[in-house]
Amino acid sequence: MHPDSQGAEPNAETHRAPADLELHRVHKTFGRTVAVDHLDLRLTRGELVALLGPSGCGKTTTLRIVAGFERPDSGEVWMGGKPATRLPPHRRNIGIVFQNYALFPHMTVGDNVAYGLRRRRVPESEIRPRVDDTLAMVDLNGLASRYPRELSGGQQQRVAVARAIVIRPAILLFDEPLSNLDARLRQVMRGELRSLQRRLGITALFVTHDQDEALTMADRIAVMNAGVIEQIGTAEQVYRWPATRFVAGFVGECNFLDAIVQGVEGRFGCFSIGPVVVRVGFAGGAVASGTVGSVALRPEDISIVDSHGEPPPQSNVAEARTLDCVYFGSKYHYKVSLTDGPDLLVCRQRDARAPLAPGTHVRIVWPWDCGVFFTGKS
Amino acid sequence: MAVFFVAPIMTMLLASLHRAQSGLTGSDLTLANYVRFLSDFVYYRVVWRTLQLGLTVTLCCLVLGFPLAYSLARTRGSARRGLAVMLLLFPLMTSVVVRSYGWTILLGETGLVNAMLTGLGLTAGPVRLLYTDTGTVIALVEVLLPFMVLSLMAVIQTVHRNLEEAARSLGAGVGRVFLDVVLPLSMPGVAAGSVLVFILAIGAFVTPALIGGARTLVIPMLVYQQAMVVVDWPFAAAISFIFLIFVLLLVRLTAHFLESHRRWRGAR
Amino acid sequence: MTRLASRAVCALIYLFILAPILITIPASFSDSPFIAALPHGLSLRWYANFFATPELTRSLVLSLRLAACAGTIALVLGMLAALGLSRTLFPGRTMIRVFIMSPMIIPGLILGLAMLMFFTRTHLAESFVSLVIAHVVVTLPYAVRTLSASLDTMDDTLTEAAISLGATRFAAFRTITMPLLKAGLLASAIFTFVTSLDELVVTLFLTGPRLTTLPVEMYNYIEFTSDPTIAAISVLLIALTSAIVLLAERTIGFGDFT
Repeated sequence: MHPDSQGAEPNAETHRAPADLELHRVHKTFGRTVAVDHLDLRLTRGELVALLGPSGCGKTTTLRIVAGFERPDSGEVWMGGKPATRLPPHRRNIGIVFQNYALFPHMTVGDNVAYGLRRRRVPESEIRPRVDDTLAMVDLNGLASRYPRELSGGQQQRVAVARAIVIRPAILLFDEPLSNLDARLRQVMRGELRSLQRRLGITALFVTHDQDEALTMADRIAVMNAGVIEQIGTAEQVYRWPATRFVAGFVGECNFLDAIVQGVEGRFGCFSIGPVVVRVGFAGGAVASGTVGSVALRPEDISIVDSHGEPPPQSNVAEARTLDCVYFGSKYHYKVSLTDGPDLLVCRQRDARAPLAPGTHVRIVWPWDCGVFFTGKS
Repeated sequence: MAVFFVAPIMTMLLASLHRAQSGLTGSDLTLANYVRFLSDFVYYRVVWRTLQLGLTVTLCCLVLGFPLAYSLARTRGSARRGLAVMLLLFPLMTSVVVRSYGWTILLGETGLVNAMLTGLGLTAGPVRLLYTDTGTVIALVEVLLPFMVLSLMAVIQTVHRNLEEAARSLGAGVGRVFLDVVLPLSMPGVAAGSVLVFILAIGAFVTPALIGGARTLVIPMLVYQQAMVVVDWPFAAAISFIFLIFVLLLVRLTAHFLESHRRWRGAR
Repeated sequence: MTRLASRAVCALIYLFILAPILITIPASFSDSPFIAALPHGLSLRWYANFFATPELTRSLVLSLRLAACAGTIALVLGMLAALGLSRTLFPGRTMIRVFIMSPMIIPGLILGLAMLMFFTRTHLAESFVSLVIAHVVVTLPYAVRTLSASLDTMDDTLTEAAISLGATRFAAFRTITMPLLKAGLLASAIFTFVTSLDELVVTLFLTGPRLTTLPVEMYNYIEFTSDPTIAAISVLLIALTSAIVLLAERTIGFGDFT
């Protein structure tokens, strides 16, 4: 396990900078379901943290608690060092971008964007230029007098963003803002939102179920499941060194192979997967021999090599037979079956070599450093 | 399927009989009845009073109905909302006689309302509520409130919760959210509900008769008197025809206004 | 804090709406011949009085008969109308719909007077038939509205699926559409029956000394006497309506009608 990777509790030593947003043991239930389970979270000035997880994991509820639309059953919310748990939404200095944009249909684009400024009693003379500047920032020059229904989905989304940032909030909240856009537009907007947020330096909390979004946009990702943050860390930390089985499976593709602990050798453990013995690291601390669990292995970490010749050092080797091949344009996904063992997914970039036909006998290798063992049944 | 045409059509045919001078068998058609109604000042008073009653009732229903409609529209859980709506519909399923009679009990000098008022020390002695305009207003508001609430509820439900949350997140307090977001976007429902209640109020017969007594003469009571007591059918018919035209015009205007408003709102 | 306040306000408004109905209950048990909200003594004499007064009981029977007849006819016609209106597209469809719904908007007294004149002309005045016709006209809009709503929410693709599996148009109607409409039909039946039972204004113009319905009788009674018999009748009517509604709730459940 990588020493810098973090589990559910944020590491106190690494973030000494004052927190712009802090949630302390925030807990919320609806009826008998626990939506948010004693959650802790800290955001420092200017960082974008993504709350990533499947539907129902509590990420939206957490966002709404930060916004003030839900009151937690217990726990505290702090903003800019001051307690905010009991503060009503209109007194927190926040900007929200909703999934369905929530633009006021009976107001023009300009009035929509100006709304927050008017509520803050900014003088009219100042409002007009600020609105125009912000609209220019999101590439919507000259549309101030149009109505939301006259704009395309992408344009409406930008208005929503403009409305949220023009007031220079302390915290920007995004509630799956890109889900309603088509794939192409989504990619474009990801980059734009990110650069906008960086440029303005506003702390942001971004809720999404799309891992690509989280991976490409966030400074840190908090992977949530059933009301709990299972891991929080940078994209690399979360992807390469998942702390739990859930994180490994949710972020990116992953093979899970049933394995039994045979022994421990320093950093690595020996595991038997079917007839094969492999060495990988542990997700948590070392465990005793005989423990049953699974080895998580990313398809792109596995290489298909020539059956003859020396296997690379510090690697696991296994014999297998290809079953199936799916073409993804830039890469191939091979389904291979280990001899007397389970099936695996292997990902190989397209190169000069011809694709392998089903039934070909191959040798697969992967470094000891890749892959993690998790206890428990998959 | 053409069968169900017949009955309403038959009744409409009557309208054409309204111009008879006296009795129904009179064959000479004249507009004398209309002239009589439109020129006599006494009748103007009745019309004015009816319209006043209608407006007051409509306003009260709006003020009382909006908060209720709002919380009903925002109630989570369709079971709870279904129950609340059913409770609202229940009075509509009881005869207007029952409800008006109930009000006579409540508003009488020995009634519950007076008992409460004197008990709480708000008034020195029993207040005269029965057989007054105020009493009629109170009773009519109660009878017609469900209509207003249902109209408003339907339209408030179309105002997405997100819009209110967006306004709040941008700094609007509860009052501002109402003025800036909820009210403007509910206008169609407000208009429809108000017109409905207004028409029902000015056409109300039983409640003003039982609660207001002979003192509050409204158009429906006038028509009834003319038709059943004085037995001047043609005159009664003339009045009701004018009334009908007024109602139909009002409905048509509202429909037109709502239609153009919807077009203005667009797809969103 | 404000949530509590708004709950309280709503509760008060509900109380206001239900007040006159609720008040008849204690008033009906009073033992004095004067109307009082909170009676001093309790007795059932007014209930007995109701059953002992032949005019009242006769009108009750008539009302029930009338409601049953008019309700059934309105239901059948309403079904046909709703089917026609939502399934087929013919010119003037909206106009016809408005036409059918119009009795809901037109003040009852205009309808009543118009019908009175018409029935007198056609020598049908003061007959059971005239009452039935009048009640059908008044209750038909409710039936059509409820059934249209049911039909509209029903998925047309269900019928198509049935036909693709081999059902004839009629069989599909019988086995798919009708059962799904059960809830709507029941709701319509209740609305039309209860509306007819409670109908007063239009009926007022069409009744006479030999033929009155219960609401009309009650109205006349109130004008002349002031004893709590009416309260007793009211309670009985309320109980009847509640029973019907509860029964319907158990069988289908309401959710969002209207």
